[in-house]
Amino acid sequence: MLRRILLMWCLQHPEYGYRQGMHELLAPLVYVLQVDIDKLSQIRKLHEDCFSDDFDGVPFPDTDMVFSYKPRKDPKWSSVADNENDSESASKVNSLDELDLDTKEIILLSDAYGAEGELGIVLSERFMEHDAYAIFDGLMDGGGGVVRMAEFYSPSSIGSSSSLPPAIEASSALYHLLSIVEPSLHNHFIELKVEPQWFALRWLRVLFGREFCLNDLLVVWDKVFACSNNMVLNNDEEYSFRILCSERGAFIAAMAVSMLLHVRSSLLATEVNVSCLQRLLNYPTNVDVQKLIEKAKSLQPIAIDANTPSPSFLLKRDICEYDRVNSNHAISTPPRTPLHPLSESYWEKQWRNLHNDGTSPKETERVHSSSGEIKKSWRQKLGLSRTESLPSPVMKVVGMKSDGQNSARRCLLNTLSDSAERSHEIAGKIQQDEFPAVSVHKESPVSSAESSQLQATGQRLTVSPPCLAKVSPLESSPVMSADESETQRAQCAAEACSSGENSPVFYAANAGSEHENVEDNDSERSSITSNSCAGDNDRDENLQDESSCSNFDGKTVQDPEAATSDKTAEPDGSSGRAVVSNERKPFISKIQWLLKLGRPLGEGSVEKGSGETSDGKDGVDASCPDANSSNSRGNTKLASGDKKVVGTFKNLGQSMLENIQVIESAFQQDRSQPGPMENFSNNILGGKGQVTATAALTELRKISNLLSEM
Amino acid sequence: MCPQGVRSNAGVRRLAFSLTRIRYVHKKFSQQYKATIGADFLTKEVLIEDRLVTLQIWDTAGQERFQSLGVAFYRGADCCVLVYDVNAKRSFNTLGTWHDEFINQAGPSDPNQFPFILVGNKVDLDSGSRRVVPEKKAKDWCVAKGNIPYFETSAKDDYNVDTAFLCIAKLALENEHDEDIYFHSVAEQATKTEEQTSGCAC
Repeated sequence: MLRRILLMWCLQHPEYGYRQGMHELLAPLVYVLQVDIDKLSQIRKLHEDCFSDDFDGVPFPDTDMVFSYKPRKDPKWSSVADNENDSESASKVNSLDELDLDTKEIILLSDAYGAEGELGIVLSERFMEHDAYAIFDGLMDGGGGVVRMAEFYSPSSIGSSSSLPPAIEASSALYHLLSIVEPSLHNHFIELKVEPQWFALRWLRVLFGREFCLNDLLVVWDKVFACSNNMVLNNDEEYSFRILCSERGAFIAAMAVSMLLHVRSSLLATEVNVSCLQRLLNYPTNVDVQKLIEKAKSLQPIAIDANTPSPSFLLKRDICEYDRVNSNHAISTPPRTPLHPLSESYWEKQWRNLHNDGTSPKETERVHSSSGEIKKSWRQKLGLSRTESLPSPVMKVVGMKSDGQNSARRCLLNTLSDSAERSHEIAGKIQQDEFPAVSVHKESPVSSAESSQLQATGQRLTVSPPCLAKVSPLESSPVMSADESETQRAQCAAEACSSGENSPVFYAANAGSEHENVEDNDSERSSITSNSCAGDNDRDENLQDESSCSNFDGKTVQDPEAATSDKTAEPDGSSGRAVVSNERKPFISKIQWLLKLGRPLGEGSVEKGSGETSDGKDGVDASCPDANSSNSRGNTKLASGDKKVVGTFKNLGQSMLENIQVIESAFQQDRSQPGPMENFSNNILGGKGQVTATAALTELRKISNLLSEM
Repeated sequence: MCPQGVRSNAGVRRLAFSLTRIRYVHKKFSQQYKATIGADFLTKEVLIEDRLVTLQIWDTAGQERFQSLGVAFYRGADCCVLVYDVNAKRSFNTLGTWHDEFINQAGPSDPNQFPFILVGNKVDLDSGSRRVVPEKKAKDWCVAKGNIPYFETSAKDDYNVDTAFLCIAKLALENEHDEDIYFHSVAEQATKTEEQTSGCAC
């Protein structure tokens, strides 16, 4: 049958002909049909009476069914039939209701007279081959939509704007998306001269059929086919890649990128293109498809967005350009100022796309309600006193709600690991740009005044509800324009929050993908949660002074400290220590794998200019506000004349010290046992990274000493 | 240090070659081998004259046309292995096209000296009773193309496969030596530790 269908298709489409791989598209379709039909006949046997072909007392044998269509078109007949069906189905209801829903549906769907949905017989053994052909043809042809599987087999493009073969174009679309989502991996591929079509050709042609087992594949396909294949763009709009013009195509690309991200670390560890390709073409079989799909879903809007030469495109270039500039002049230019207006609006856009205008109050409220639990646990965890809970656009909150407490904890872990990784990068950055740690010192007193203001503004923002919807920094300032100074402050706040906003989100992509590589269990979800929590934090940050500090810190080196300081700042600060000790353990374990992994990873990015700089930018970016926030905390506390502030500082310094020790010990451990994967060159680079990291650690130690001495 | 290997690409009867390749690398033969879609990559280490050489075997499906994988796929190959099925006349007849197209795409510095190898596979089939391409004819073709080595193999019976690959590796090495002498730029490439041999079959 397969052969017949394929032959028929080839004869119908001589321009394509048969190519290896087409059978692998057809086979799953036939399989599904076969399974469905088997199930049908099984049920038919069980509930024979429900399938009665009796028509007006005259039995219609199965063989006559084909002909029964004709007479039914006669109006007289059909009216009779309708009546008959009505009474028949009414009489059946009782018996049908006793059946479970699935069975009932199957029975109703196979009603020869189309009582249900007027489809007539949907499934029939006799027409299975016909159906298979029709479905296969639809798949290959794309139903007049954008993604036409047949094109992936064709050497030349038919009706496409570019001169490249569609498969190659689609492959480069995939790379394009990857370069946006995960620049370091993209750079790695470029460096190894791995061309996308070498692996993507297979992925696309059989629609991932070789990479997943059949059961997983069907799940993936379900998702693929659930996406509309219609052109999302208007005719006059320009686009870069045809495959990204429909939701389905975008999902396919997103799926592929998500698969790449899943094996990111092992890919980054490869040094030769062949081993890289081998890894790609022997995709791990024990993959959690749901995780991949979730990730792909989150990437899908980015994929669509990346297709149009829209402002976001330009912004991306700007960011890259900025990265270059920044890496050159990091000393002279304060890293924060030029960065934010650019990336902030870029991510702003990403957010909006991600949520699909879901930021409208109603929807977010709904989302919020589902995430309320998590937030509560978050609040408890961080000891935040929130006056008001706000609708926050949480990405994929749905995924989290099942285990609120757990995910919150995981978030914390993620942020911890993020922070650890960042400390690594700060180190690298500091060393590279000879950005003296002292300057962080110098800068902090200046901006601490600023940020205390900022806190005040934060308070204000919390009070004024109209601002809720206007969380975006750009929009918040006009609203507050009544008071000039206030506007300035608002901008300050906006800036701070945006720095929080862009870095964690940016980061989440990196860190998240790493997590999922390392941890087999629930890693994807955790990456998403880290994403969403980051978003959560950032939004709240706008509006709440307390959280603006602690949340922001949560993404920086001092996460535990921040938690501590928060706790201690509150009337009964005794719990502060407990938090630290609680978090120490995961922190240690996290940092260990992180260092191990972060090494080749860091090297990958060191080798690749832009990937590194963007990471580095994050690092420095984080470091400054970090210092600010801790200082500002001190300022406000001092102003309020709270005696506890000294204790807070001591605690802060001590916990900082503790954490530094943790990092150092992890370092030493790591040094004593070099990873098996690392080769000669890696070791050299690793050594460099270690030196810089250690240098940064000593600086940190100095700071913490200062603090604890206060 | 291992010398820079060059990939060899060739292809006629891709499945045949895939089987040969699989046989060679994994020392096993499976009847239910999945057809190559797009490209496939394998590595194999061989000991030649006390040197451990890693062969990178780049394989592409015979149905692929050159443009579908891009020129980069063929560039930098050290040796090109053309595999055909001795039981299928057509696979033999298309050898010339593949040969020329490879030269075209890979753009070796000296097209006349670029190492090719011809492999006639599936000699085991029905004890050779279904054979349609006589050995003589294949050898003539090889001579006409500049005396390229010819091997007859059976991936299924593991006949001659190792010998063929050993020859491939040696040829690639020799070719590399020459280039070392004549082209400085290649010497730089030689710092890479891998030797690649890519075979593509049609």
